[in-house]
Amino acid sequence: MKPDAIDRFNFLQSRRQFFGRTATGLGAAALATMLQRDAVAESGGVLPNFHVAPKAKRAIWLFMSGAPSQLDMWDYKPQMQERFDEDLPDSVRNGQRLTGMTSRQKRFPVAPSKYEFERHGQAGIHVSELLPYTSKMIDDIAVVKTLNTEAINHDPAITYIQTGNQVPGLPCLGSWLSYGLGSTNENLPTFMVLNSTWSAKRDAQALYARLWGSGFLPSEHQGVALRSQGDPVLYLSNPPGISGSLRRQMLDGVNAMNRRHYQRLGDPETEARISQYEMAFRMQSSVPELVDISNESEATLKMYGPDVTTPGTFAYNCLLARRMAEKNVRFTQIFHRGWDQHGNLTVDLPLQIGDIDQPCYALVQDLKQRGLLDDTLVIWAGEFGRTIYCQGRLTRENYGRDHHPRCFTGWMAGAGIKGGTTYGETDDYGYNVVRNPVHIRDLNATILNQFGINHERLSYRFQGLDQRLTGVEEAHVINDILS
Amino acid sequence: MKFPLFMAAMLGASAGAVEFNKDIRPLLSDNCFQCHGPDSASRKAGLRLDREEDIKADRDGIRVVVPGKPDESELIKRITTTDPDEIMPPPKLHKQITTAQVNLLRQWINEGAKWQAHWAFIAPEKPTVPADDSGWAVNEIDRFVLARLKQEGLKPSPEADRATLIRRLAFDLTGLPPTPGEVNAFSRDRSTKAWNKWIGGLQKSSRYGEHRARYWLDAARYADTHGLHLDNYREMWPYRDWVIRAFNRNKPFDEFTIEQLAGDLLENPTVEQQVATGFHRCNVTTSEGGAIAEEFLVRYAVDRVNTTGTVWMGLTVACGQCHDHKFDPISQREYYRMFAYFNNTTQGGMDGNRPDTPPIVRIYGKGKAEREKKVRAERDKLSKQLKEIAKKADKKLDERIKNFDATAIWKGEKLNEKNGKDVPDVSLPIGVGKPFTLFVQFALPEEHERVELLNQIDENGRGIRVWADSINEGAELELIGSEGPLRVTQIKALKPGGSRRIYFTYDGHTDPGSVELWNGTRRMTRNRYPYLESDRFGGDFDNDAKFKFVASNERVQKAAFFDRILSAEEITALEKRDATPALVKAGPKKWDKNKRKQVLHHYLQTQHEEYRNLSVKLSEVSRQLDYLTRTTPLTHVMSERTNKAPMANILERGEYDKKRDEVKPGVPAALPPLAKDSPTNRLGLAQWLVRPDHPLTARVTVNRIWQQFFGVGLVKTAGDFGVQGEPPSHPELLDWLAVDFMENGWDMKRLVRQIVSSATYRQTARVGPDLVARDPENRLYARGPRFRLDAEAIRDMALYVSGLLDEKRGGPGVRPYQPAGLWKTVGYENSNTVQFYRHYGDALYRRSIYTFWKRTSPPPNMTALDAPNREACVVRRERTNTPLQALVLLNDVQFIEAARHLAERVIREPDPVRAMALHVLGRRIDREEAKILNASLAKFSGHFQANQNAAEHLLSQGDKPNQETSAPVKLAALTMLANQLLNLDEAITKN
Repeated sequence: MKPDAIDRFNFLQSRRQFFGRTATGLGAAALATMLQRDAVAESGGVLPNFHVAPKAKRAIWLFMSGAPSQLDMWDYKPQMQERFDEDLPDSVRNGQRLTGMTSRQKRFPVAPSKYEFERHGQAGIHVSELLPYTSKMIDDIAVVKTLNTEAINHDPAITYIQTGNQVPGLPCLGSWLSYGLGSTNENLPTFMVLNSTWSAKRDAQALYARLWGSGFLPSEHQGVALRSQGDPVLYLSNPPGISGSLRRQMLDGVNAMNRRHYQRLGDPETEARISQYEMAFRMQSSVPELVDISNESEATLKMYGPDVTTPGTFAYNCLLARRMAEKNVRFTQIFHRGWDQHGNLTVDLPLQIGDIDQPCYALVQDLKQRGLLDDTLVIWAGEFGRTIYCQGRLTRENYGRDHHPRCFTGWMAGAGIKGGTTYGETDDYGYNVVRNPVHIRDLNATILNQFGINHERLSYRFQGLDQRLTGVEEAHVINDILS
Repeated sequence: MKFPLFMAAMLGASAGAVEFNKDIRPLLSDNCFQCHGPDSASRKAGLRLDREEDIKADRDGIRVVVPGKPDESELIKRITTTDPDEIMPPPKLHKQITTAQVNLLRQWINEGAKWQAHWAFIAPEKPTVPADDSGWAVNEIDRFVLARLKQEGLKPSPEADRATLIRRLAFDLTGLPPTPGEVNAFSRDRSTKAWNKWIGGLQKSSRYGEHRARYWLDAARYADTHGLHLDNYREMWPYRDWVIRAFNRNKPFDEFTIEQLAGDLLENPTVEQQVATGFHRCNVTTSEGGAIAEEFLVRYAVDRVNTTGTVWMGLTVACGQCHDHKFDPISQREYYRMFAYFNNTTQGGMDGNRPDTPPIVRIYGKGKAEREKKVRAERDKLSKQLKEIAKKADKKLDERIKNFDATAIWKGEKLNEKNGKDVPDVSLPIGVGKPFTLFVQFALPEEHERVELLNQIDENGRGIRVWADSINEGAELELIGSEGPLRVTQIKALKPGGSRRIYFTYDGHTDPGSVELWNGTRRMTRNRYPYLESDRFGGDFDNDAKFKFVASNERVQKAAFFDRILSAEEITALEKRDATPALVKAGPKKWDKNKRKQVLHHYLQTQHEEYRNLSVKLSEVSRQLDYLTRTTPLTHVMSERTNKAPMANILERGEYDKKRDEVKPGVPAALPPLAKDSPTNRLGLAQWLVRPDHPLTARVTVNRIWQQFFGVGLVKTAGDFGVQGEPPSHPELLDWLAVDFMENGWDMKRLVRQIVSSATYRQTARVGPDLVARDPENRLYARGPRFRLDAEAIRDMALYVSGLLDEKRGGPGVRPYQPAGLWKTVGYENSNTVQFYRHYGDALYRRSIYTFWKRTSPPPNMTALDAPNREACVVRRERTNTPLQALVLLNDVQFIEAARHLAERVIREPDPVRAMALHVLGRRIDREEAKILNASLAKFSGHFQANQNAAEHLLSQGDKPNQETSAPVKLAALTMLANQLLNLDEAITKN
């Protein structure tokens, strides 16, 4: 295993001083190149050094695609009970545009949450009764209630939070991390993606390969999807009839020929190819080991809940994410679809939460028990929030909510995040931010910050611009939730 | 990443006087223009450093640059001061000017601070071609390259050997390797004209266009789905085929440009010219529920401006959407003037998730348009007649119904309808050309289940089968032909639970559109792209077996069969059969308009012979028309609103709902003006781009073509010729090629010929460590080009050398092998591309340019090898080297099957190892290599000898069986060896 990034940090710092003292004649450019090569040689990342002291070695992003209702899970608005079926005041809506789905609705009646909220943890944070497990670990997590975005529909919004732009074509967070910091595991990909099954109605919002795509960055930085059907990594298995030992013999033959070719032409690319084939061969055993959960203890499995042994469930994927964290996979993103509750919310939302509540809890606890939470960042959120007003028919018992970009809730844990905190406040209607807004750019800046990266300084020249994950607008690290 | 430091050092290495464009502007641009550049909104202290008059101006006694006097120049003071409040650039920008750069600036000022306009904005002139006294040069390209090599103290490499040369040439011109016979013939062809002869021959092949088009389709962001949200099918392939034809016919680049940007605006445009405008219908579109049309129309226009900027102008105009460009002279106003050209389309903001989002054109075969017209006229006539009869009958309806038995169905037809258990198995004549209608009433289970309702399959496995499916809430009709099935599924058509009544109609043809599903009286929306396992079935499915009610006990409650297609009216009559008598009984006073219509049509269908005959006729004619329409290819095109002139509003920060000043179409002031009589629409823009004095179009184009052959362009940033782009490695060569290109009628084949004729191109790629260190990317051309083949070329090569490649040209995208579940994992349930059905037969072996491209889940074996996802314009592919690529080439069934057939191809050769290597590597292997390969083969043989089952398993991979089955162990061992060869660095590389 390679030395991990944080350990290398100090090493590079001293190396930098060394060059600074003795190699003045080299000029800063050459020096930068040399330092860069050091970083490249060790982990394949381009950043010569960290910009701030890193807290995270790796991250696990739990992505709730479709936009979970913050009002029924996190953002407690008891005042709304009295306003049942009252119209949302224009002064609150304040020009907020509507999606095409409710723009023809004649009224915007308030739909108070049907669910009870109770205080949990030392700070007494309100959490919905729908989240019994997550509320147990409230002291481990920081809840941000004022995430916001401009995008109001799924495709642009999810592309935005993942890549920093609503229009396709840019690299996602995981690709940026891979590009900037490189790999700390030579047997597994740096950035892995897990797609999960879900329980609400079937026509969940789509996902897109671009969400884990590398955009203009070289494609080696794109996320590798770990699949629950067929090969865990595409094309991983030898075809029937080719055993591991036969493959080894064949690769020996490939290498011998490639070495000869290298002698003939001298192109270093040929040597690189040899090492990539070797990594492919190693992956043929490291990936199956990764997904083989037979050695997990009864207690561990129990913690994640009954779904954990079913490949493709969110619970199973959370367990795999922990296994990847153990193996220093830099960035793991789990997608869970089905959160688009335009109607029938009180039936579908509990089903969705049923998929994720216990596994989220188990993941954080499992990481903690293994001492991994200190340097593993866990993030939970969707692409936007949902409206206080009802879409479709409103009763006390059932209702629907449309898309709401102005505020939504997410949480983070581990790797320098202050547990037991909430950040930001919304108005009585949970409609507007009244204190401490956190744009999705700020969220991304904060994630990069925990990895030791100043979001303004991880860039790639493309189309004449030094492109960044956070784009050209300002972004701020949410310092108040950092310990 | 920053401008590579290495290049900066290398390009600056030709010491001597400092040159503004090369040495100084990039420095100022990188460090100063963000706040002191063209963008007026972000300009600090009103200071501008991108124009000579500003940088040398006297500002209250302070001069930024005083020519000849660095110490009096504020510029030097501010970048060298230690005062944190004074230092520039400000520390918070994290930019740093190095000592070397300070010295460079000092030197520049010392030498008089000479200013130059940015090179790319000055029209190229043909420079003098340097002399060559070595005799190495073949053409002008070489003279420029050689001059630079001399400057660098380098020498060109010798010519590559014949086998390498012909393989390089064949891949570059056709995307396929040479055959062993061609290698042999070329190696023996020692005439001086040999090289040119082979170039000519390869350029004549239709493979040439298929290969060239591939690069262009990346830039055009061509794909077969809409790209956003549902990502449904988009019928667009005629545009792809147009591009291929354009390259094969060597359409001059100026025409190529005008037709794609504005073919629809030419006088009396041909269908072909309209098809060409598909270029700007290739952008991603949405129909997401709730999306705001206006917002997306802005995005589409933005995409078109940016793509045009990148592809023709090599400019990153995108910045102008939100603010003045920070580096290049493109103001926000100018951006929206270009935007205006694309802001006058008849296209709507939502694509409707349809395959044919208007505007479209249909491409009729010979005589088909006339035929369609005739049939349409006949249909209209019949409709009119029927309406007239109905109108007349309506007047007498109240009278007539008095003696009307409303329980009757219709005249002359006996309804063959049976109830559940008692339904005897019934025989229905079925087959191609024999239309039928099939009615089933059944219970669709609540729980997830797929049930077979009935089948008529003969002992040869041919016939039809009907399924219902509560998983996808749909029904499926399967027509199983002697050579393959056609399955037409309509999902989301039925609600689970309860009793459902469906009608499947089949019109006797072999395409998926020949089947329709009715849910009661509701005709389910038929799509040009239903869920298919195949596009048409093979052979016939005639049989005279009897229908079996497979699920008759529980599921099938009623069934009926008709040996023709029932019309909508007939189906309605059937469905309302129980309701209508009650209406009749209640009497006309109880009817509203719809109910009256229901009774009237029931009456007409059952009692009025003429009406009934005409209505059966109409149903037939309508089907004919439907068949003609659905089998006529269509493609998306541009079309201009005729009632409005193009205009645009400047959008504040690029936001669609923040409209500001109105602007008319126009081009940036830093570039040549539009011609006086230029049309103020896209045609004007297109004509302007190909003006001979346009400084960008020709340069950008020749650079991109150069890049195809050498891996990297003369300007590495092929999409950015602006101030922030990388300056050309060989500016004179670039200009010479650009001007020569225009002078010779924008002739693309000629340009390609010039490049591959050059001695520069023909050098060996062999390289020593010194040169690798000095010039890792081969920007100086002291050796020949060598880089990994693109995804498509690798797949095509494997198919070609194994003899599997099907060289059928054009047509709808094909879906070869792909691991199961990929589309399903990401897709929206309602999308018509959520389910991947692969093709069978020859479609598996087509050239990769014809592979169906779903943008949100593109073919994984292509994207692993750096194919872009086609969501946005790409003019330069990255080229990476990853373990995932190795896994594709080692294990993908497509490559295993190719290996198996390559093995078969050589199994009877006296020396199969050498023969195989000759196919794959295009050269004779030496003794050492033969030793390695034979040793491998011996191991493989031993392995399979001991594991004969393994041999059988391996030989069963892929659809197409081997003919040679007598020696499975030998074939399996050779398959393994073929897999080994196809994975060699040499095999997947242009050497």
